[in-house]
Amino acid sequence: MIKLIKCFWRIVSKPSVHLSFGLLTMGGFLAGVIFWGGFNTVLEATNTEEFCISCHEMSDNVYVELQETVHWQNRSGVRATCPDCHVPHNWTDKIARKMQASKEVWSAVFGNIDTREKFLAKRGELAQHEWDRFTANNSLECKNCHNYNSMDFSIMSERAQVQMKMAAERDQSCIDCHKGIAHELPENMGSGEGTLAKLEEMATSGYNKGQSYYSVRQLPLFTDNTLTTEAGQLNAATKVTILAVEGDAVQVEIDAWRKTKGFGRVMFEDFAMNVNDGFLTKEVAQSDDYMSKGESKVDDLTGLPWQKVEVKLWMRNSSLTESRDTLWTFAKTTYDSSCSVCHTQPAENHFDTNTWPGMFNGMLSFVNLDGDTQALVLKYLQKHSSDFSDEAH
Amino acid sequence: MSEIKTESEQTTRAGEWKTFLFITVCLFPILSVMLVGGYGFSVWFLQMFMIGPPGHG
Amino acid sequence: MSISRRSFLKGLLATSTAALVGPGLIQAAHAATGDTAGQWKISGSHWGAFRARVYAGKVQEIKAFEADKYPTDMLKGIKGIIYSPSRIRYPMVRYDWYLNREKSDTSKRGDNRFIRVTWDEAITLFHNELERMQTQYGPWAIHAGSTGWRSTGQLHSCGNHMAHAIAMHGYTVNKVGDYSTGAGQTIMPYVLGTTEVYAQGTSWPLILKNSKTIVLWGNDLVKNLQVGWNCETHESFEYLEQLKEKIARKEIRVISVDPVKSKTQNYLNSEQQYINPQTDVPFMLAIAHTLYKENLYDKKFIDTYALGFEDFVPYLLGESKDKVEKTPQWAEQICGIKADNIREFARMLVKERTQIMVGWSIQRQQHGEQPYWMAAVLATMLGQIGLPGGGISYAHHYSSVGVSSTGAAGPGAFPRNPAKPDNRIHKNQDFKGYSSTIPVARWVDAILQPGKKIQANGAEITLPDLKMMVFSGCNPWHHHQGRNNMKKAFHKLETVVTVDFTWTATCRFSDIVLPACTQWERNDLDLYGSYSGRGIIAMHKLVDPLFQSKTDFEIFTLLARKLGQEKDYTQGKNEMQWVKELYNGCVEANKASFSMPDFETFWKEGFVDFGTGKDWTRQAAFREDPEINSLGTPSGFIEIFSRKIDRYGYTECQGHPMWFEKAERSHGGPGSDKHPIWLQSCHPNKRLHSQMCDSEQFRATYAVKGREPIYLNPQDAKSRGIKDGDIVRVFNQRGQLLAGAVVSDNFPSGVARIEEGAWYGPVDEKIGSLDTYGDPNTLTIDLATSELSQATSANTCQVQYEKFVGKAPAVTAFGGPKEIS
Repeated sequence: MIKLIKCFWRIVSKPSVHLSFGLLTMGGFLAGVIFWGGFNTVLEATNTEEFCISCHEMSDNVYVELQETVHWQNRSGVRATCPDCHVPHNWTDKIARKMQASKEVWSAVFGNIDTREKFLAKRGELAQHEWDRFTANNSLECKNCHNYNSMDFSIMSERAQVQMKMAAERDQSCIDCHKGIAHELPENMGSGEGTLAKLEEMATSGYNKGQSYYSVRQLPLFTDNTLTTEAGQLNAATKVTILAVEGDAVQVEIDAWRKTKGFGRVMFEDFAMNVNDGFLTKEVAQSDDYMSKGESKVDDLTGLPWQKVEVKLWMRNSSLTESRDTLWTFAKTTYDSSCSVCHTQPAENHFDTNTWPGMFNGMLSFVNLDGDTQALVLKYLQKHSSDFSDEAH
Repeated sequence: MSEIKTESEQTTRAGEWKTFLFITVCLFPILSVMLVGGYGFSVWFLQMFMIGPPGHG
Repeated sequence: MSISRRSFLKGLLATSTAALVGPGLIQAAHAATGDTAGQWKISGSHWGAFRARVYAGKVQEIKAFEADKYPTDMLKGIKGIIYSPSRIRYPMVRYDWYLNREKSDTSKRGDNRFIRVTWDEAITLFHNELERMQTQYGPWAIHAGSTGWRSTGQLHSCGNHMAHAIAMHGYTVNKVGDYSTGAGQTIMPYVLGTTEVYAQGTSWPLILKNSKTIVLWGNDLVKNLQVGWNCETHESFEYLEQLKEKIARKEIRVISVDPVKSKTQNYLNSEQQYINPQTDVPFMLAIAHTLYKENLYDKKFIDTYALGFEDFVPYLLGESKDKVEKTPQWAEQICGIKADNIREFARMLVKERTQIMVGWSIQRQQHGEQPYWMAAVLATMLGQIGLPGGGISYAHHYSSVGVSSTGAAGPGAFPRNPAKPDNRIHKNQDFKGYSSTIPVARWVDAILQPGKKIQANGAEITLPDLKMMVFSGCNPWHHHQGRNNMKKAFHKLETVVTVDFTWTATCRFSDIVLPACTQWERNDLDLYGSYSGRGIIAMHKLVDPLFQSKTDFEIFTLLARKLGQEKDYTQGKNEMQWVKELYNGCVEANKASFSMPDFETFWKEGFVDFGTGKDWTRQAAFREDPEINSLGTPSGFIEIFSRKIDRYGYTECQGHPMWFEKAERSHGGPGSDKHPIWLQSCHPNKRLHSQMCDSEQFRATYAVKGREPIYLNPQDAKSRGIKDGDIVRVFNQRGQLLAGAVVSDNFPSGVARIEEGAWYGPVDEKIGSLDTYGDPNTLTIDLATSELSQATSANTCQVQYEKFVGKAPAVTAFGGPKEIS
């Protein structure tokens, strides 16, 4: 063996004696051409739907689901195949993705998702990988076909117009809202959850330190970054500022006011405004470890003393969005449709901020809204009440 | 040093042909694939640990 | 959901076999004859669900829905609504208006002379008027926001159709509040944090188990629970029956604080605490005084859950501006209850678990905010708010409040708001400084005094200069106060459009009248039990729309077509597609918790049963944790003193509950020398407001010589020479009417009752003319409760009555218009 390599090296390292210069270069060039052709053919072959669905894991699950969607069949006869969305078109990223596929080969060999049950159990994780990728490249694969500049907003439905114009302005990532458009959503996010899924769809992903975000729904708060000891609950559409990101957890600061009658557990958005930002456990509310206290003053309209606090707590790294606009649009739509069933529906600015909770609670018996939506709609009404209406128009 | 060349060091025409074909048909294609694959893997690992998933632009 | 439809029906079969045997056998025996032939269909109503036998295109008989164990007598009136001689047959236009349009002689409004036009012409006239208003004046000139009790059914909910179609055309004036609870729903958010009047109450089983005393404050449950906002289930009556038994066994004491022996009191065989009309606040203040002086009130509860008690006590003790101590002796002079009895009453309230149930009548009077607020203060002093069977409620007499909620989602409705508000034809939102929303009961003031500035709930309202009114399924000529004042106002209106199925007095005073069909001439669906959410009921079309009537959906589709927006209005769906979509939306909303059959099965069976819910205690969450579950008041606590109201600086509603003398009051009060009798116009026993008054045969069961009954005290009647069955002329400075005397021991001296909703039938259109049937609002005062609510004061009304001699004029209220051709 060693002799063979030595012999090989001897020939390779010396000028050729018997073969002409032209033959070697011509042969090398031809071999190169044939190789590159072959390489690309194989690469392309692995980039076809046939190849993808040659594994039953794909053909039995995601492929079948795709066939129920608009990306499979539509009136224009354009369809998307697996690699259109799931393989980057940029060469480097494509090669990286192909290498990444070694994991899939591994799974296929060991049968990690070879039954529907196993697949469903794993779907959340798998979907999250793709969502992360889409978030990072700003839904590049979607935008290869769907271009904000080519959208005619005027022929969209009213709600779509509002949402899409806002998304276009910020060149928002499509996947922020359109999760589950080509395959079923993971079980706990299914549309059976109704509005919760809709609210979650509004969350952006990837949060930057120092920047402010709003909660899309009511979210648990914790005292530590392991998210074990509960500290209270953040209300929907509440502003938080990210102080730190550690794995699954983010540390947030909530600037709030609280009443100092009782334990001071409820956080409000502003002085003397009963706009709920969430609540704290008795322990956290009474401790100085999680908050710094600011000025105190008495609200003349009730005679109650209020105190400004900056609360620092941990929460899960999810369900936050950059702007309240989408949340407000959703809340307004809900209010306009759900709350117009009975007598007359008062305009948002018919009542002031502190009157709305009472009026809203009185109306709740007649409508069917889940807790998250209730909280969101109430906050919407309060923030568009007569106290703010000059600002809003 | 040319005078101390030995018989065993002589290259034959057949040997050169075999070596040429080995290099063009087997060795370099395999090396190319390994190179590209290695590049792909390195990018993947970089993505996993350093730069995050591919961005846009 | 554990109860399936099948098991529910089985249970029904088992429990009602006995009841079914009789008619069942008869049915079998006569199956071939006309008496039982035809098809049974199911439908619903404010009076409950029923099955109707339809034969030869006509409703033949009606029987209560099997699940309704306590059906109301009023089901007998339903056939008479469909086949009433008062039905509107064709689109009609007031004759003089037809000739002269907006320059018509409006003083002739009410002469009931109309001309028949085609649908096409009627809709064109309606559209032209809307167009003229928007271009000639602006959005401030049209009031299309007044709505009433409508007919049931979620798709055809008439107010929604009107609001939706008119909003597609342009902006209009809107209203806030309603005639039933205007004062209550405005004051209570300041005090207890919600409207209270429309809130679910503590479940009856918990009340029956825990309460030792129940105080019914001006509250006639048995009368008012017969009807409901959606399809009524009458589930409350099961508990009232149990309550009756508990009273008989002396396990619970029920005391009605009421000048009148109510239907409830007579049914339960319970006690009464007589009180002079409109004097609830002095009685309550004296109770509070006793609790305070005898140190019987719950200080700890007040400290934890309430604010402002210390600002209220000086008023109680006579240390504030008025310098009058609110002692039982002081109250006795006003409310007619002996001081010792007041003290005893106070002690009784604190002794054991006490549930106070307040009715709506005491807030339908001048300063109606005060008794509601003061009752909440009393309940706070008792400290039982949030305990099962304790505390206070303001709605146990309404739509089966107190029957626990299943939590199921009801069906949605035809949307009130257009899907594409940007497509509104007239985008003008310039109200020229007038307010775009006005308190519901102030629209007549607006017509008479446009530009007048009034205070309302912390805001200044500028009354708009209304030129055109649009009503749908709404009868203001029954529910508004002061007919003759209304006549004056209607002289100033250019155009009035009314959509209804029956020729109400509102039609009589309109210019364009469009005939809708009744709710039993269209397909729809409804929630069964407004608060209990017991199920979903199908409303099968029983017969085709009579005469030329159309569904509200069709009528406003025609208007939308004129606007070129028909497709946006119907969303491309016909009636049944809408019903199906509303049902499927309901299935979707309930997916997580209730399984529901598919639409076809539901429509065939007619009912989906959600079973019963869990018992629940009002304000229990607040009692448990007042911080997290804070109230909707400005402070989050019960506000005995409201700094917010105090800031408004009103004279008739100040920082804490107070006693104010009324404009008119019986038993020695203002105006009682000239008009000594207090006229109460409470919700009727045999109608739903003015609905069903047109049902001829049923009306004949209670009318006296064809007139609305007036209930009289025996001595009062005797001293005026009036016997049961006589025709009586009732009058005051505002108007006069004829009514039929019913002399009854239930009514104390100085008190008479004419139930509201009696149709207005004046002898002619002139101001002051005699009402021939007996509409109490001919006599009532159009006076705001206070600057806070600007609500109606119907129960502040003094009258005199005498025996009517001579030939009584014929009743003109029913039978439709005089057709001119």
